[in-house]
Amino acid sequence: MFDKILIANRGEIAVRIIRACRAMGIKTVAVYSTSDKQSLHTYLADESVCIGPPLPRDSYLNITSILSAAKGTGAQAIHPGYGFLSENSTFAKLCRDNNIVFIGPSPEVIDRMGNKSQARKTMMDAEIPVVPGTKEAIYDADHALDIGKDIGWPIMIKASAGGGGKGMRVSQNESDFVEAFNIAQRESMNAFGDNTMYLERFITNPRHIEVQILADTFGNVLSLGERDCSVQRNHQKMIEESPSPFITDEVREKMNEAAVKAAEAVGYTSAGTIEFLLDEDRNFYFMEMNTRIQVEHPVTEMCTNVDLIQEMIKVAAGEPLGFEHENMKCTGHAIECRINAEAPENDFLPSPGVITQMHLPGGNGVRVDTAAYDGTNISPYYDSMIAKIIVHGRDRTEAIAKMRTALEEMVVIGVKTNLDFQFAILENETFQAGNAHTGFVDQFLKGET
Amino acid sequence: MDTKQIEELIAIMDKAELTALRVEEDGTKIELERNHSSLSPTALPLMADRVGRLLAGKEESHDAVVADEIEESTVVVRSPTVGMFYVSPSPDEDAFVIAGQEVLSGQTLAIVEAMKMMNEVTAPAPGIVMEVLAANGTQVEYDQPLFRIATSRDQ
Amino acid sequence: MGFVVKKPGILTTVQDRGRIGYLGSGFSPNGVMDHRAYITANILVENDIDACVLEFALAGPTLRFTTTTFIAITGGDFSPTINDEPVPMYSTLEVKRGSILHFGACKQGAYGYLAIAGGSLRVPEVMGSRSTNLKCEIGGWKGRTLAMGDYLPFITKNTYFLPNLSSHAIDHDDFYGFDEDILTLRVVPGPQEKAFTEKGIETFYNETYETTTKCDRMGYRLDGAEIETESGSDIISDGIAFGAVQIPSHGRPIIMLADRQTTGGYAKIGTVASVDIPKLVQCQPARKIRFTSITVQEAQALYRQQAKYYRSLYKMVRRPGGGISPRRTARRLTPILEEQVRLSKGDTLWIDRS
Repeated sequence: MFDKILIANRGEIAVRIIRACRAMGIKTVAVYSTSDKQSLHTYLADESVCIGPPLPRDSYLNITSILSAAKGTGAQAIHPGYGFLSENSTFAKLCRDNNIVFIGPSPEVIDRMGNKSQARKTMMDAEIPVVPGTKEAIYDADHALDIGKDIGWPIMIKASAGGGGKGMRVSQNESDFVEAFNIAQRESMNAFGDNTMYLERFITNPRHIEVQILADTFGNVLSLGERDCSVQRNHQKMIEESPSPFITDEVREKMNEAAVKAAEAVGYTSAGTIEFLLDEDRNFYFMEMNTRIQVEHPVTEMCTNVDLIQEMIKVAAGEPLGFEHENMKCTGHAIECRINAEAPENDFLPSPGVITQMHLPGGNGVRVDTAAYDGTNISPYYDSMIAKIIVHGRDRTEAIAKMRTALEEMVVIGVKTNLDFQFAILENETFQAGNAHTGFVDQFLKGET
Repeated sequence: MDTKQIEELIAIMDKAELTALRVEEDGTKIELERNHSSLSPTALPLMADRVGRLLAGKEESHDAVVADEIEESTVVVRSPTVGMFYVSPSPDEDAFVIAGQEVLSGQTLAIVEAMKMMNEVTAPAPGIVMEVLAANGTQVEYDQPLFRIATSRDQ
Repeated sequence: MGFVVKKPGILTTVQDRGRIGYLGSGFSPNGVMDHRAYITANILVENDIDACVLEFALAGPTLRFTTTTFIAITGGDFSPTINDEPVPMYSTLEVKRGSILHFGACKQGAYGYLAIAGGSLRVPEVMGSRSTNLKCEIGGWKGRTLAMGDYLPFITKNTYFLPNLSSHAIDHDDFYGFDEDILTLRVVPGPQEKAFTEKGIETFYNETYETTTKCDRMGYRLDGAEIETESGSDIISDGIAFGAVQIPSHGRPIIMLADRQTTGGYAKIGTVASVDIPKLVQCQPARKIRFTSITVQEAQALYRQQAKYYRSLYKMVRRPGGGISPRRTARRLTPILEEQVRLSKGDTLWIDRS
């Protein structure tokens, strides 16, 4: 087992990982930019190293600085958290070259699944249902148009190197296809430096349901259940829950099997998530695989009582999974709400600033993952997340009641938050009935639901 | 207590890159130990006693060379990156600069090595090196103070 | 927990949808005059659609609340104030324990409604309804109007078990046509249309009538051109529907409303469509009215449309994020925390104190 781990991240996930390490008796090294000097994670870690100025590319994305900090402090492993360098295969390779264990899958697996069009091909070869679309990568608009005719409109044009909604356009019919393709490709070139594209049939208002995977180096590949993340706005998730109120047990079993098969097909190790889209007939299609721990991982932790971060560390240290995986059960229902410093009434514009005072909820089955404290500065350089509130109840009704109580109580003074908005969604009939698909938030904002 | 003697001993420690030195002379025993932890001044773990001990450690500076004069304005040169701080171009060479030395604008003061890449630390303005604020061969972090330079007005 | 009546107002009674099913036994159905305002008020406080409300006319009551709760005020404008601060109508309001809710004289409209959240007032149900029958002195609040000193209890004692209501509101629409010079009411012809001459019918649908001061819960008497009958307006006594237009011997219409007698011996030229009755009941004296005829089918279509509107009201009423925050506990805690900020200004962060 490692003696010392460096956490190459910030905010609540850095706090989360540090706590997990502490509980395992592992020393921790935090890294921070000059604007994060008084962040909670720097105070909780045993050591901390300033690695650069505020901009992410100069600090949290600065591979040289982070590796140098790791070597200088004698860290044996690096946990990349989510975002930043967590899916950067170059970083993972450099860790390996410098005899530092990257806590995650191998750089080869990251590459294979990070290239979205290649990932699709891999899944198709493994006979896992994918959204009908292209198998090979496309670079040319006319070639794409020919293939598009086979797929059928409406068509989603996506960037192979893409993510976070960038490099994506929907083409409604043949007439707007070429223009949409060119725009998407240009966006992809600007954002990711890559012009590889692929096509998928556009499913109207799908449900977004993902499956958590955990795999060790002994051939154990497990599925820990699904999370329904359909409540999202501009592809940013707002509320996640498990189990999904949309799928039947039969579909659930098939999805879990497909997820395990997908992970096995690429020789996956560590924690990862297979994302599926479901149409209204509950057909599920592989969309993409995230080769990292995700923001909403606590939802699965509350249902399964498995500490995903600790398991990732064990796997990276070459140990087998630390729980009775044969008898693992998902019990009850968990919901997570992301609380961000943003103004929903102003098109969700981020609201950076100092949180002068905060009151957090608590109680039976209420978990708060946050790095914020009274006086925290929510910086404009990074994401605006203040906290994640996760609740667990014996059933969905109880979970909703607990979340409602928690959101009702929480106070943040100093910055605007989306607390009222999240609360309103919790009270909404459609959400309470479990009928929220990915178009729900937009409809909710327009007053249509 | 002869502070000049202690200064000389510190200089010896530095040159020979020793971590500890014990001298006994005329019934006086002097023990010097370099604080070898790679903890930066800003690493403050939450537990109260560790904080207390650290604060006590904070007061020491590693290679304190006392300036005999304080100039009109001083500039602190900070580390441009995370890495190993070296005062000389290679282990068997002399240091780039020593305390009291006059330096020109852009002159190399030290090297911070990160992942086999050598980053030069240069003087931002002409002046005199007052203090070297970090220990040779230790890990420094971004923005960590490395040198104090007195910039004189006449030049 | 309820409210205490400091001033009862002129005609303040507890009403609901009406005592339905006993017309044949001689019981007038009573109930609210303005059904639209009544239903809207209940939707705003998330009560059952047939929960009882307080109805008041001419001058409203002054009430002191002994518990904190949510209310909604709809119908006519009686200049409502809570602790002397004017409050908006058609939105759910929080009333704190000890507050005084005051209604003045009626500025616009004629009947006002007060709904209280959590199931409304705890008054006994008599023959399936909580409406007040003033003539028979049964139902509602002890079968009479409110008097000074009355204490009416609520069903729900405090707000902690209520859903969060304070962001509920409805945009004002001009359904009542208060700004219009002449109000047009749609009428379904019959049941005794044949008792009137062609000239009489033409008069009814073309002349402009005016409400008089003799308009009350029993019926609204209109002044205007005489309506000609074939051979007088006497008929064998017939049941009277809500909104029936009777033409007695003096030839001027009187529209029968909530407290009407169960049967009447005068010919009825038509019945005001139920969707338009609220417009009529909110008329003050000297309001000009015209009638226009529609078929039963059209009236039924209007009724169905109205039902759809009520269903959509449920969604319209709830507004996320706008106006007052519905997170009540957070609202209560915020000033306490803000005070902390003021007190500790300039202090170092707790995390830096060592």
